[in-house]
Amino acid sequence: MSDRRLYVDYLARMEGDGAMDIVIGENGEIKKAAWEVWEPPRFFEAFLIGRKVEEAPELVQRICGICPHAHHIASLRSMERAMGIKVSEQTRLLRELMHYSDWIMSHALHVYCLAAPDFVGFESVVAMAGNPDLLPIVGKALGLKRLGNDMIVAICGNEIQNRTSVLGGFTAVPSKATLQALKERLKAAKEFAFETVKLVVQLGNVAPYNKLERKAEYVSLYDPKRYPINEGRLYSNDGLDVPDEEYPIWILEKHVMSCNCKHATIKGKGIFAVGPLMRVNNNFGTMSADARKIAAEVGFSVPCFLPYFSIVARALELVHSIDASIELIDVLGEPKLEEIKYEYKAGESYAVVEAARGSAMHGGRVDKNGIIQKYDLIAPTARNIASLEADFKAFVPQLLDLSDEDLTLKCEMMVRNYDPCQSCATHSIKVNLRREK
Amino acid sequence: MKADLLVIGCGNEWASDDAVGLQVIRSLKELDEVKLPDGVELIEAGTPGLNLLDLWDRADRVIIVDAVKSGAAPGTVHSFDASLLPPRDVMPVSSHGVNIIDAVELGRLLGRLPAQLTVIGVEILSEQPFHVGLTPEVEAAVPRARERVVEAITQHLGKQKE
Repeated sequence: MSDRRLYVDYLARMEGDGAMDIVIGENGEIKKAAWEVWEPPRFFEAFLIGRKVEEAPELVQRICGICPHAHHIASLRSMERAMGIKVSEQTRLLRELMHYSDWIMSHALHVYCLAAPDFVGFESVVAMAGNPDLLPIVGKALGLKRLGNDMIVAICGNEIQNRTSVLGGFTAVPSKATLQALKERLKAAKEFAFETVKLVVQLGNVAPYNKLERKAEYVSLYDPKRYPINEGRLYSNDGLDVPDEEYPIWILEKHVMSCNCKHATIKGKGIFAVGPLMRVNNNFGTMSADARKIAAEVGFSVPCFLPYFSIVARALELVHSIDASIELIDVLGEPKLEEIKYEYKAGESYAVVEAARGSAMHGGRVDKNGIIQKYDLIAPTARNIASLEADFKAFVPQLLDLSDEDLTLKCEMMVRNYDPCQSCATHSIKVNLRREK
Repeated sequence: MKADLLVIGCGNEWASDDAVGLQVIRSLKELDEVKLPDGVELIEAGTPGLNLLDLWDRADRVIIVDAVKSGAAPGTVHSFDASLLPPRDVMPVSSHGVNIIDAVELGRLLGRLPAQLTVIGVEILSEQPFHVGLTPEVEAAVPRARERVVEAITQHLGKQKE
């Protein structure tokens, strides 16, 4: 008699290292369903103590090459809040555009390079490109990702890590001509974003993906008037609705054996999930008109508690990101170089932004000389580990008829549904499935 | 504007010998400028993944310098045409992105390979994470790898080595 064990020690197509370990007992009961993050801790919170406050936003963007701007902007907003610094409207808009650029890059990468190969049965995007029917799609996908990167270069002066955005504002701003050139490319990219939505709905809207539903508490920022990327209230579909700076009061963390990530719960309640699917559920009404229109066309509506549909949420956010970027470029017009002025002031505060893969929080305490006394950062991936384990426990019993190989793949996909980024979390992936026979 | 030739060094600065491609580029930058013809651009690309395709768009002739693990003695300098790279099933896609073999394969499929693409690979010993600095064997190979790059530049630009 033996357990059926699914174990994958280094899962590909995700950022960072970790393992999945699932043990199924002889009666089909789940004895273990764990996601173990191997990636070593990064200790950002410790080494920021004693540094000048200006350094925090600069250093935290080094956490990750996929969502550097999320960490950067959360850090900026929290440190500015702590010292009572108000930034200009132009700075807020430029920060939004910078972050949408990141979403376009990250979502295009995840949809086509990380997630789609699973759904269409290829090992990787390179193998996908070997199929003559899929080759043109891969080419366009890389073009869309490139557009995100080029927007980042235009705003930040650098491919990944920014050189222009600092505490209080920007040290350089893109010209109107540069922004207009990007606008034309964004307009041209729209058609492919629509195609992407249609394609991923086809991929997701088949059994078992469209049957595996798990109602859960979905957390994201929320703003009744504007799709929340950099600002909003901390909100859930189950009653959480508090100012985002209260994140440390409401979201509690605990260390878990065998995992380098802390697990999280909502105060007085249970586990929760963050990410594009959660954001779209909570904020569908403020997505761009075209994003809502294409959603209706393909039959997607909220609430949607199908984790495998996170790829659909990501594709809808691609449409929205393009529309929002075009609008931001129009409103920005000809950005002006503004003087950056602020004074150090003692204070403590926190801020949440929506990274492509979910809510990220930064913050801490600064003394009157602008020296950091305490720093906390919480990346989205760490928030989702408990939720992922709940998905394993809910879905694996429904998939027991599959071969070990297929069941392992379905479990790997459950991991990728969250687009985990262990570099941030600290990092994760291996999958391990064992069944008792 | 297109360069005549790009030399792209790849590697992770914080993984010991993995940084050798970057070190070769730095060593080339220290050469007296006159030794490198005009139109040759040196790039420290880090771990570019699929962005290699975008870099390639900038030139028809490209030389990539990267760390290699083939089982040869550490410090061995390999030089080969990209068309001779092993098939990708020998080397799976890495978790963080895409390795050179994948980028070459994808570039070929998409018609985005440079007309001439040479890989100069330095056999490495250590990929110790969070460690900056090459092992002595690999450090000693940097001047040899640099020479191979200079030879390849001369060859690509159709000139005889002086």
